[in-house]
Amino acid sequence: MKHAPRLSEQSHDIQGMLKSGFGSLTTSCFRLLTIRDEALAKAWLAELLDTGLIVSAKQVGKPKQEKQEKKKENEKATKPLDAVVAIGFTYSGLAKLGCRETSDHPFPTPFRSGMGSELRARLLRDDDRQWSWTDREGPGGGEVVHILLAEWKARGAVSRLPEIKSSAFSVIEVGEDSDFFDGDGKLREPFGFRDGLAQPVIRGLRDEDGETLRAARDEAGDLYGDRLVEPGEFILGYRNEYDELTFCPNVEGWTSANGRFTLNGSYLAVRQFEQDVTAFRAFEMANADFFAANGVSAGEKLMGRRKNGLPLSWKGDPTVPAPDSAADAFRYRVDDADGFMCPKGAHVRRSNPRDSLGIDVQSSIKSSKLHRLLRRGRPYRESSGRQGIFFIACNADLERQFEFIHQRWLQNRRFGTLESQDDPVVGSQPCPKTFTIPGLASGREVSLQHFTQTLGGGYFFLPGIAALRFIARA
Amino acid sequence: MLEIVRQQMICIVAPGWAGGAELPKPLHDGLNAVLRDVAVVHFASIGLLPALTGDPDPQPSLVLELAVEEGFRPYDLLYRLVYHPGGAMWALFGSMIAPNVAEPTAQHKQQLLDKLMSWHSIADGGFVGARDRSVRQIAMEKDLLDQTRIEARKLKPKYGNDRTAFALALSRWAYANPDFGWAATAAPRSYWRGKGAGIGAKLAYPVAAIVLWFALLGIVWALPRAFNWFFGEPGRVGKAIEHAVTKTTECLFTMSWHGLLAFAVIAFLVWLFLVPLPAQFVSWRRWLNSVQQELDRPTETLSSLATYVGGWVIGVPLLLAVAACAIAYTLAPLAYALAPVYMHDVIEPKLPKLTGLQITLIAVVAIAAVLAIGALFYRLNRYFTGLSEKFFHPLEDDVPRAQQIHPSVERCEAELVDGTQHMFSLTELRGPQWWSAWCIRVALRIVTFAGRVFFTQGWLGNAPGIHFGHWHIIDGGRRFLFCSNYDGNFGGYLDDFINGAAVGTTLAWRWTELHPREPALAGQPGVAKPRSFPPTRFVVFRGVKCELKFKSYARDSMLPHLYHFDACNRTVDQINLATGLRDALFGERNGKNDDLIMRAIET
Repeated sequence: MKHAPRLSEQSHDIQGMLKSGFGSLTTSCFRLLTIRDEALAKAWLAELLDTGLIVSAKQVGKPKQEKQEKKKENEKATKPLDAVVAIGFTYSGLAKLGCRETSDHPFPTPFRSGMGSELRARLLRDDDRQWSWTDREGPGGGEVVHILLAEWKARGAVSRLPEIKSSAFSVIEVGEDSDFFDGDGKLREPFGFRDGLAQPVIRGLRDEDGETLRAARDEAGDLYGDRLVEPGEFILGYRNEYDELTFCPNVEGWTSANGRFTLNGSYLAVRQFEQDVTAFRAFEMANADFFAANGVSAGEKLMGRRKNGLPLSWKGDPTVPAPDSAADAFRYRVDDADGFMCPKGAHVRRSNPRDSLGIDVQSSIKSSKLHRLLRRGRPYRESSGRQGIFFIACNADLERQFEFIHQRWLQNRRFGTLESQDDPVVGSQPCPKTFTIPGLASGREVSLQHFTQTLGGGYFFLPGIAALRFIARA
Repeated sequence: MLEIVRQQMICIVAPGWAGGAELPKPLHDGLNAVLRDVAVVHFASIGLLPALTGDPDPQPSLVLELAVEEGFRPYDLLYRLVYHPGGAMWALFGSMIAPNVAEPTAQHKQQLLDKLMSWHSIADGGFVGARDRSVRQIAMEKDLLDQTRIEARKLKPKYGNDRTAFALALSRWAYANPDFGWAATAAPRSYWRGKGAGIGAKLAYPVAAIVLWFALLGIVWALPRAFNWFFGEPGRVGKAIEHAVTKTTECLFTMSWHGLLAFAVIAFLVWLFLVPLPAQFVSWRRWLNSVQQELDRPTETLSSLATYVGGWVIGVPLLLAVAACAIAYTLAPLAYALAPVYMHDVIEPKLPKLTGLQITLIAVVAIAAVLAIGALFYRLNRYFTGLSEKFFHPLEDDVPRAQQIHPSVERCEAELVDGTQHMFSLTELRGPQWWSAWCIRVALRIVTFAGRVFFTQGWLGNAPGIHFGHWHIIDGGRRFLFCSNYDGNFGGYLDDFINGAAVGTTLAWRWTELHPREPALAGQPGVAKPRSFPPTRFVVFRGVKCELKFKSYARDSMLPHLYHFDACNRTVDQINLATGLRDALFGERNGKNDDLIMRAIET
């Protein structure tokens, strides 16, 4: 038996993306690498580590105001980050780079099996996959990738990534320098909705944020606790919502006394969605009467939020912007049990049912916290005109978090008491399909077609900084 | 009453399976046909149990699990299955009765029926979710729901926003439709779930039992007197009998009301400490919460140590003292009856002479002292948080090979992803096995009773989505089989157990362990390393709350199914909704029913 690590002492080893979505770095690019030459790949990885682009959670922390002032007095203020990178590996990628799991602490079955496998396609209810990339050979086809390289940059900043040589990797690039931030610095996805709201707050990891955290807590009021989730739900090796230490797999040759290979890491469930903006706009136009009668568009009903990010049950003036934390402080059971405001089958209500599915409010919130995702994806736009979301969800238990949400909530055609209706935005049910918008006396049904298409997906492991160095040397 | 529930869930364990790990397609079809024709089976599954450790016959056993409607005796059910003209049961089990006989004679069928009766076991305990309805009822109510939705689409333009008129129109349509004549009577439900046994009735049963007991004592006490009244003064023997009866009944009467009073006082104290006092005093509420948390999920900090030590040093002696007082008070009349002189001369002088006011004051002071101790511990916990974290830094609990799922089990889960999920879990009873079996049976009877009488809304505790969950002690008390049909996926199901039915699940599984075992056949899961059920505290706490250990234990105990039958493929929510719609359409016209109809048609 060993002592569990303290999160506060480990932030130097946790990749920065677990702490921040890098909202100040407005352009992004995601690269999917397939290793051609292991030695060259390791050399490139070592070079990447030397650039300092892979930042730790400690580096992205905003120091408290007092500390900041003291710092200014004593030394030059540190230069703000203008580019950061995060890197994750598929199971086959780790194997390719020489990491062999130990027999006592192997990787969890979903990660080893891979999102691309035939079994996971069935478990995730992905009908008729036509994928261009994946993490493992499967029914959807597509290139098997080994590494995910996510890069966030300030607008106009030059990439400092080491050259990715074709002799080392083949590369799929998603959204070179995509920038979906509006003038107010708010992220909007291609359908025009505010994105990145409803994020869980990792207990203990944002404590250093000082004023920002206090403001978020004040704005959310009594419901702030609904967002607060134990670190073990996202970072391996820490206490989770069950007060249990999250399982840490290990690899052969890893000798650190600090913990196992996967300590301070996380699993990334990644999916590339293409969004059919034309179809979505056409749907909204076809249901323009709905907006006239109800003050919210049919598209907002599908999504379950207003386009400016406010909840559909918002009691104030919906045209006046509100802080993100306040906009995320709502529940369903008391104010909207029948789904008159946010339909029961709407995308955000399925993704995070909050207090609506259990026997009472407290048990529902407790249960919902077992199925939270930390989203770090961004919208992308390609030169071909294709646009969509590159979805990245950080979680510590793929089965309990990503797969449960995807299988039981999003793709479930019998979610709650619904009949033959999956998620209106990312569901894979054959079209035409219907979506019920509850209302008085009884609701109405609208006919839908697919607004999104999944182009690829895979499970990646986001290692800690020390583990990254180990991989580069392995 | 429990027998009715237990008979709904049957397992047939047939030793010596010589077939493969897959059933041929014609057999699948044949089984589907017979189960549909019989029309009383909700779910059926077939799996293979690995041979017992040390068994000279290495062949696996075939297990057939049946979940059936209420009110069927196993013999009646098996008779219908065996004598079905399709002959699927012979195709499945025939080789174990008379190898190489394709067409069984009447004698063969009788042999098969006898064998199945000898192999079958009704559940040692189980829970029935929403399936107190018959298969036919579920199917017909689904049809009513579907047809009502179709009709609602037609009527919507006409009635628009008028809820009352809309609901009335749908109700009229349903009444006028000859296809739904059956629905005019209220939906049949089992007694405890229907309107027959509300909370008043549930309370009335124990009250009636107590009243009857006192009435019985009164009658027995009056019998000799009635005899005397009829037949005059009795002789010596008669007087002796009268004296004995009078003394005994009076003693029993006094003991009974003493016991009742003791029970009432204890119930009042439990209520006082768990309901009004936590509501009134924040420190007591938080202390109780921290105790609950420590019992379920020890943090191994100072708080954990305080709770554990406090539990043993204060809690257990206090509870034992209260129990001893209650028992002494209850049995005191017996002691006075048997040894009155000793009680008067020896015991009574030792007892303090207190007035009612003094006793009340002592009780108030004791309660205040308990609250103060709770508050003190709570303050200590808060005050020493930093210190305790330093001294009692949590230790990493190593759980080897966690989060591993056998591919055959995952394949089964994937196969049923659009329907009701199913699981088989096989564990061994902990030694001494007779003791474990006895404990498990007691625990399961309690769970079954609670499920039957109290959890009547289809939820077991806070765990939703269970259609049938049942436990069987098999192989002469050596192994423990758990079968379940549920909505959702297996991981979520285990989460529901952890969060919603932790005490019952811990009680059911805590006397089991996993022994190394070979796979039943190639491609099926085995167990490589032995392990115990996760550690428990004070019998019912912790256990399943150890997420990693419990999930790993449950996952490794699982076996895949070779065949699965689901008569209706409806979720618990859908079943409840359809029954609710039926009662609303054909019930009184009021706002509640109108709203239920509106909500039902829009989903």
